[in-house]
Amino acid sequence: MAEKTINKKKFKFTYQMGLFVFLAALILFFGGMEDWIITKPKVLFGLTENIMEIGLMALPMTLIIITSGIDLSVGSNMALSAVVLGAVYGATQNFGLALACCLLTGILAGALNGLLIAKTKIAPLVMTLATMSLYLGIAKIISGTRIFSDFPDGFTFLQTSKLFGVVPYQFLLFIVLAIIFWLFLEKSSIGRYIRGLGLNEDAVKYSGVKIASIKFSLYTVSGFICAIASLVYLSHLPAAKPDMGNNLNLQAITAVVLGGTSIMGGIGNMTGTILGVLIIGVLRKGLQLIGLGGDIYSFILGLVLVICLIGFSVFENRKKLEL
Amino acid sequence: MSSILELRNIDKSFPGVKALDDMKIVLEEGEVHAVVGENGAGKSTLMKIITGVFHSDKGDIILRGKKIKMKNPNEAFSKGIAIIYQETSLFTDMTVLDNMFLGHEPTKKAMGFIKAIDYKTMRKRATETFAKLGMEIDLDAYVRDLGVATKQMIEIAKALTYDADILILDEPTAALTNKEVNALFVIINRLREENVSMLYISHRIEEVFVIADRVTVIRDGQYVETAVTTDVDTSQLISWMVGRTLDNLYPKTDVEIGDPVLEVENITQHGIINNMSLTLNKGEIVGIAGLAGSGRTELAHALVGFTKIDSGTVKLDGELMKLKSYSDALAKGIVYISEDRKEKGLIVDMNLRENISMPILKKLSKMSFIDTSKETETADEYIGKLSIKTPNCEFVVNNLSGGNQQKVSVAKALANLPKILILDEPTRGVDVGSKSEIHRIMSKLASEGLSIIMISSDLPEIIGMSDRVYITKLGQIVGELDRKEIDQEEILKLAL
Amino acid sequence: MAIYKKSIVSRIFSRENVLGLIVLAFFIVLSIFTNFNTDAGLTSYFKEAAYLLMASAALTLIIITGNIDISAGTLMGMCGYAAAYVAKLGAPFYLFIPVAILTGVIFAGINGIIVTKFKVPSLVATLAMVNVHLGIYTLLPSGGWVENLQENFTDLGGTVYFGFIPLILIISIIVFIGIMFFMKYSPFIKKVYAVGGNKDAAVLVGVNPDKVVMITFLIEGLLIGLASIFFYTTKHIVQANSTFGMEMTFITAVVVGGTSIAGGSGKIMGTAFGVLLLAMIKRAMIFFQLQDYYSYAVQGIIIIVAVLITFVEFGGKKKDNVSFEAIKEDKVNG
Repeated sequence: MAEKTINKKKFKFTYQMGLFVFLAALILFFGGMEDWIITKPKVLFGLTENIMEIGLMALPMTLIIITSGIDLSVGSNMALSAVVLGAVYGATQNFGLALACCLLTGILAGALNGLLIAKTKIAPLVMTLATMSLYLGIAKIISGTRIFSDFPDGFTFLQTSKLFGVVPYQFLLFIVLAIIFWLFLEKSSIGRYIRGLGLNEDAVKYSGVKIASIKFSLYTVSGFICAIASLVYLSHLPAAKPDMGNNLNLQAITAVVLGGTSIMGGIGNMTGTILGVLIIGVLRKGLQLIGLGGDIYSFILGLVLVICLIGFSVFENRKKLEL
Repeated sequence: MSSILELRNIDKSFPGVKALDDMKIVLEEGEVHAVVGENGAGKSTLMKIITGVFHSDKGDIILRGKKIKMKNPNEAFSKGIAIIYQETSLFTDMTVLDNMFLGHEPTKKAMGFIKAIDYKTMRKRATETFAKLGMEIDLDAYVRDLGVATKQMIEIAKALTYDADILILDEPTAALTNKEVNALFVIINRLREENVSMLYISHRIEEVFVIADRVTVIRDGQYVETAVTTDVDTSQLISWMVGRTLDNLYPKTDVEIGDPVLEVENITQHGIINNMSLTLNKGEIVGIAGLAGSGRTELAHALVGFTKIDSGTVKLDGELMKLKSYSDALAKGIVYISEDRKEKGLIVDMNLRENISMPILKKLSKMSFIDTSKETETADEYIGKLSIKTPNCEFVVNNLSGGNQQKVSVAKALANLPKILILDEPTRGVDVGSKSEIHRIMSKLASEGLSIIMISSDLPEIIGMSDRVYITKLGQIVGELDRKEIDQEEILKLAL
Repeated sequence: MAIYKKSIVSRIFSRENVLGLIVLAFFIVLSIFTNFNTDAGLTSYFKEAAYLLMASAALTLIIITGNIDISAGTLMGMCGYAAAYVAKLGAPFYLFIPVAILTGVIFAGINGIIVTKFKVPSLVATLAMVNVHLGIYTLLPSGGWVENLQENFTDLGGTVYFGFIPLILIISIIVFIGIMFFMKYSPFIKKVYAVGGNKDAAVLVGVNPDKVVMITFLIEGLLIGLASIFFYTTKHIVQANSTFGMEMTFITAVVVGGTSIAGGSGKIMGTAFGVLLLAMIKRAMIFFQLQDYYSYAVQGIIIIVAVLITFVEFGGKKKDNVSFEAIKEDKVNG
């Protein structure tokens, strides 16, 4: 009987191993095109160039999806925060103020999602679908026809500066936050509650847990991270415009789901998400390097996601039959 | 009377367990035939074979004298066999009419070739079917707006629209009040007059004697005995069911009763609870009896902080207590175990350790980080205390037997180290064996100083286990009886 | 002796009736303050409504089954492209319309297979398919553009009767009425509601949920194909990616119309009103030149408000006053 729990562990191990292998294969594949991997760590980290904002957003997204919720508004949230940053700085030349406004925007936007999702029976899908539109709209209203590209010098440090000249600060930021989120999910009591929410919300409620505050916090944190993500994005492309986040929703969710987190809730972990983010990053950069642009990347990303979803689903169903 | 349905030599195995072993059963035409057995005895597997959900590995099904093979549930319907489940399988966002005929609507040819639903015929047949049951109902009502009893009647009516003459009723009275149970029995009698044959599965042995002509007992997947209900009595049935005599069904020991732990005075919840007062003393088991909807569960919910009290006071150990939420109650040592245990109580995909520790996770954590070894300690402690059959605490709850899952939810409640336990229908749907174990545990807890409020619709349980009983009716407490005064008639008199 | 009847008040103020009133109110207000009630204004409005009716009807069915299709927008683009491509080669309407429909059925069918056969939740499955569609666009000749469309294509969209009733609206309404009959009288549709409402119970009465969902996706494809015709024949250039993101509007119309995102319930008439309302709001915003900036924000707010209203609707306690004359007559002794 104890084999059943072991089987589950083995399975998870297999999927994650599979991800790791896939990542390694991708790196080698693209590396084969250009002789860069082994000897040039700088280039390795270069892989993470354009993917860190997605990586950041994928972290709270993992938690949200585990509670069987979802946040489709992350891209728009990020864009709105970026636009606010640009607008305030452009008007006041006070970066501190602009930064504060940017972060506040992200927090409030996330909090609106959190409030309505926690306090009413509105489905997260519908709510964040709505705010995806709403925040995009507000960003458009604020921008009008302008693009905000007036940022202080040195603003791009997240992207350009590197620790020891090798590790970009944005990557460090991602790793630090990823570790924090990982610890939170695996080791903390709230992490346990989050898993419980995805599996059986009522049971968690009847254990005396304040579910509404957990949900509210999750979406608010997601909003906050979106604001930080906007800083990362702007640091490599210092132009804030409303539609800059349109493609990011899918990518963030893809990273999470790719990593083995089930959209139905209850199952998932941070390691998988980290692997998922890296895989997407390598894919994107690699395709760029061999001259295939954004559209092909989107296409392949979509395909990869579909294939992974199908594969994951087949795994899950086979496991169920075994029981 | 000839037999209309017969199963012979039925074997059915699942990976790791033989659910049915040379099972047999004979259903005579026009009879009500009860099937009793403990949880896990194989009743529901047997029914699933009759209705085509499962295929037997071996054995025959003989319907109206002919050997048949039941391929799928739809075939069962077309052969006149219908099953009414405990959890009603109706569609809440559809109307009564649509629910009744879904999948087999009467149709006519519109414009010569398109199959269109014939609403006129549908309504006529629906009305006729309900009339047969002595009922009138608004066919356009949405099922979500109807109560449990009504839904069950609709299920029966639905079965009749398939011209079913064999009905299987699986725990039909589990969620009904006494009045509704009576109404159901009237309908069953009517059906019997119409020569419908019925298999009646129930844990409520008293009912078997009221409504059934014959009863079959099964145990551990095997056939034990069939008898005419007038020829046997409860203890005989029970001994067949458990394979031994259970002399003490309600092992209530005498406990020294202490001071009041909970004093409820004149609490009101507008429109729901009207001036209720009660006292719970230390070491007591206080029963709360009354019809469903008379305010029992509502009282419990108010006492544990799920809902707000509009006026009146509640004192815990002599001190005024105002609860803002259930977690407040938990913090103060008051725990509520709801009737819907599997659904609301346990996370079946998690293991025992995770489940048992959930209510006290904060206490088992340092700065929000879980101390797994403390968790394991706690879980093991309760596994021992409640004799939960599991290899270890890492075992996933879903793989435990029903009775043991029940024990896990009790463990979960006890992990809170409660002073007061409020149990809502603690043994609803539980087989006799586990029932007495749970009662034994309750007694033990009371003797250890726990105070228990027990809400139950099971009058023998109330009578057997309570030190005192409060009777509720229409949101008020209408009577209080001491252990010596308690008897079935007194309670019913006050409750109705 | 009836047991449960909805109160007169809740019958009068049913969601459909209220929506209908709102649509009427909007119509009046817009006619007064904008160029709505002119030939030009009405024509644009009706052309908008024509394709929205088809697409939103398609989404309604999908949502009733408890699924969703985020790729409906890009799907419409592909159908339009296929039809325009064939039309450019000279095909008449009775050829390019079936091409659009076929494209829709095929690609929606792919979604259906992923959801039913591979059990992938429709949200992520269709989210991913959006990207696949976009990728396909880049592989298409001329990157998904078809220019210089000829009369064989644009006549369909350009034909207007009495100065303000477009032909495509008439066709759309006819099809929509057909859908309404289908919804009421088809045994299949009951199964659609069943699968969305309670899949396990549906299986017990012999419904095959996978088959039902698959067919629903195929129907969606058909309707989206039609929608693409109504949309693109009013234009002179077909850009496959101009419909990117449109599913938001379709879903908004469905939600405003009262269909629950959870599945199992929903009236097609509600969707129709949702469409009429949304199209009017869009016209109003274009007129006040707020279109570019405010449409997204407005759309978001509309969805939130619409869903919140739904919760207010579903209040009320359960009634269990079953009438049993039987109880008075017979008596069962214990």
